[in-house]
Amino acid sequence: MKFRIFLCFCFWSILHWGFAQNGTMQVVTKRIDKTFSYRDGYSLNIEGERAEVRVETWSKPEIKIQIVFTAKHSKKEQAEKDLEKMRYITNKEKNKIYLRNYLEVPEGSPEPQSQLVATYVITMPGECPLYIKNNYGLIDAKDLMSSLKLNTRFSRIGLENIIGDIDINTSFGDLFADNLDGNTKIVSRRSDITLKHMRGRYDINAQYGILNFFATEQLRDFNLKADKSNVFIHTLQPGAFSYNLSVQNGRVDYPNELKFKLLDMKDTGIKKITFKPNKEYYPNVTISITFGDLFIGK
Amino acid sequence: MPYTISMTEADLIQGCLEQNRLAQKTLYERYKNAMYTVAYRVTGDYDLAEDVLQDAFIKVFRHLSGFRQESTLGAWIKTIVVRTALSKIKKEQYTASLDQIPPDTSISWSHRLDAEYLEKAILALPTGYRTVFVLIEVEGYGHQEVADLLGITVGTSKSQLFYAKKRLRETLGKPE
Amino acid sequence: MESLNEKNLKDALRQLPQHQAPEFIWDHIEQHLEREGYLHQAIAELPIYTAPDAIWGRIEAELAKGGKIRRLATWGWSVAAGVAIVVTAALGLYQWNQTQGQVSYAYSEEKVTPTNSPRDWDDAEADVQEVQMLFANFCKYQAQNEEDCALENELKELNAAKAELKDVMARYGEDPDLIRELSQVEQDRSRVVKAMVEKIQTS
Repeated sequence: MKFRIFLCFCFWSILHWGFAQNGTMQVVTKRIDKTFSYRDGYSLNIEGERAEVRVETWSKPEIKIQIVFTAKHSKKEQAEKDLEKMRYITNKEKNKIYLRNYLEVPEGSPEPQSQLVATYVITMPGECPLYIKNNYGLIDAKDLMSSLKLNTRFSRIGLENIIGDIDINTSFGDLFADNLDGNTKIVSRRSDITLKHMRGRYDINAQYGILNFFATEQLRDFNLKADKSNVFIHTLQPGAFSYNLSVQNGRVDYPNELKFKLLDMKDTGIKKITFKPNKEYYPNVTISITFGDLFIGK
Repeated sequence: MPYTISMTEADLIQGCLEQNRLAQKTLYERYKNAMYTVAYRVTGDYDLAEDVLQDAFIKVFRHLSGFRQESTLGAWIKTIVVRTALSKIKKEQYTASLDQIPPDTSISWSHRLDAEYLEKAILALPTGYRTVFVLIEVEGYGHQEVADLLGITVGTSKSQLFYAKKRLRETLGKPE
Repeated sequence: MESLNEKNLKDALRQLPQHQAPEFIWDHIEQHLEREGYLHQAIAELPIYTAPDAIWGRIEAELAKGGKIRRLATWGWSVAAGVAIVVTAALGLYQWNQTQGQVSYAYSEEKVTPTNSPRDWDDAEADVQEVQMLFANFCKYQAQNEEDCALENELKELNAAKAELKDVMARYGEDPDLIRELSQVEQDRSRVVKAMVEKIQTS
């Protein structure tokens, strides 16, 4: 019996020692809270690095900013030291509010050894224009209704209920958006794109991606130039649009109900389709794909 | 409420009636290309088409309260664009009468036509022929409507259409 | 009585003869389709023109002429200016107070489940470099056209992406999100390297 108790004790000690060495991280956070009053004509500009930016809206004429820097390391002292290397700027110049975070390692100092990340939680009026540049992180924004400009690398983007002028430039990141409405321009490289409940106008240029588009009746014009990408257009009323499609070195798949006239130029590998519904007003879907397939369906 | 391109027509009309500039612009954006195309085909001239589009939309916004919803808004705007375009082009003599049309009024098109060539051929038609052809064959108006718009008889509209098609057929050539 | 009349009417309506559409009507329709089908097909494909952007500006200017602009009386300007100065000063003070911001610190612990995945993303670098060199030779001497060598640029782009991510991981730490990004780039690189080898072997 004593031996069994001893064995249990040894086992518990080994487990405890293991966790103490490998299983626990010391997390140190530094939080900055700041509020700017908002007036018409103001805009918010964020330049983040390794940042998670989350934007929500409210009806108050205020831009509330919370920036949280997090450092994780097995030793608390190291995490504290590294945390102070994360710097930030929160400035207002005329009608522009600037937020920026960056890493500052003085010359001769060792590189940080902790896992570092910045998190922005922004609450602002929906009509405030927003510009975000962010690398190696993520952007999550919803309920905006003015203009949104994003420039990202290695970042995931999630958007919901955005109205107005939308301009997105992304590489090595994925974009998922639901309920965009307005004039949307997207330039993407090596990014997968999923746009659901699409309304308004779209102008998209994409390379190396899987592109999924879910159109609604309120889709107006859709222009897509895609290279080395597979494109999926989903719509419940495929016959409601006018199509001008060109696919080079790829396959085209569409429902039989669309009486498309397919012009297959075998010598060039180009397939062309034009179709117009018999209406006065109809949205135009213009797609050009090289080295990729096009699927149109419900 | 912000005006967006996907708003319902009823909301947009209401906004335009309240002289909301964003609603007016949204309505304009929605129809501008289709209407510019109609204006260009009727006038056959880009500069004139621009003037037509401008004048027509000013009329649209000023007279929107008179829109009775008996047709679609698009059809109502198109009629204003067509009327404005017609007022800009030189009045043609619609001289041909019904008795000049041979008994068989349809022209045979036995080969596939290229839309680009067809567009060029349409624009090269004399104004009177072009107007009737565009309004009936491209825009889907009936002879009676065209007769009312142009102030001509139904017979003249029919004969103009016949000669327009005949001219197009000659221009586009016979199948090889 | 009324209902009896209605019944009689309905019975009579039901007994009305059905007339057959004359055969020649379809012939006429078919003849028309045969004659004009190609024309209507081409009409449906006619282009749509884009209205120049400048037109809206002209419309807007014209609409503005019809609008009413309310103007303040001269005395109103002095009052407005006074109010503006006071309000601006108050707003400035309010803004200055508000934008001071607060900084706070917090400490916590987080359990981490160790993984068995090794940090082996550089293990195959020698192989990748070898293929890259072979492919450079292939492009120089064997490739038929520029398209054959497109993979070279693709690999360069992915190499740069990997270097960039490794640099970020060195500065911000090797957290799971960054490791996943790196593994995605490595998968793409593997695909390109395999395609290069295939091209060299099949040429």
